[in-house]
Amino acid sequence: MDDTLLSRVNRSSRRMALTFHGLAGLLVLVALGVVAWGWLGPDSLAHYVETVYQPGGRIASGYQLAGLVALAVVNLGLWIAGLRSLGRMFHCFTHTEPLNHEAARWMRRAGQWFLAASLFAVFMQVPGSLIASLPNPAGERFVAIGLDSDHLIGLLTSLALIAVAHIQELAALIHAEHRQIV
Amino acid sequence: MPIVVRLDVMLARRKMRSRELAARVGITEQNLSLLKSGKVKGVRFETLGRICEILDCQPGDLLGYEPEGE
Repeated sequence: MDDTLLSRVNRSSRRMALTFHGLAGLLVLVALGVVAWGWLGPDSLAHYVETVYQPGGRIASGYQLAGLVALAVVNLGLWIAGLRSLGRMFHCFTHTEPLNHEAARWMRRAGQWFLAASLFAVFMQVPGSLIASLPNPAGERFVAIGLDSDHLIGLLTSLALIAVAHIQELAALIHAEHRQIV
Repeated sequence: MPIVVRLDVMLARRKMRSRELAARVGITEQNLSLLKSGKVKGVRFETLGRICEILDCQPGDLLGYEPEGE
């Protein structure tokens, strides 16, 4: 392989790894911030959730808020795991040739985490809407689920990542075999 | 594997060192060493052609078939 191209891949991968690890760290801070906000100022967080996300009900109790925060934190956790896996995948490219099994494994894991995050984002609407509408009078409580373009993009991207990871694994296998031909 | 590589025999006949052959063929000494010991999965026609050209021999002089168990 061309050394200049390889060193360029190594350098850009180092930057990408730093970017993804940085983003994951930022999301950890966001998750901690949300938990701290709910702990220190539950009323202002409840007001923020009601006005920004309009969950279809009033957030009157601490249990409701804790439930919604827990859902948001789990969703963030899945995204953090996906971003960290992508960071590790790019880290593999910083010191080895691009076609290797370890990188393929991290790419597949990232895809699986993002798929889990996308599915969770779709299905968390059910408990989320139920929790938000609990204080509503009988007959006005509801469960809601919807699929918007963000969810679809997340699902398609994660599935594409998993498929490319399988291709990368096959390519790594062929590359390893090719190296044994002089 | 039943294919045996007789490159070391040909090198000895031509009184040539592995290092020189590797440099002239354009492969690493490590790869030539693997080829000599038969620890490779295959040889490119291009590499085989260069070796034959440099050692002035035929592919059959370098490779042989010995059925397993014999």
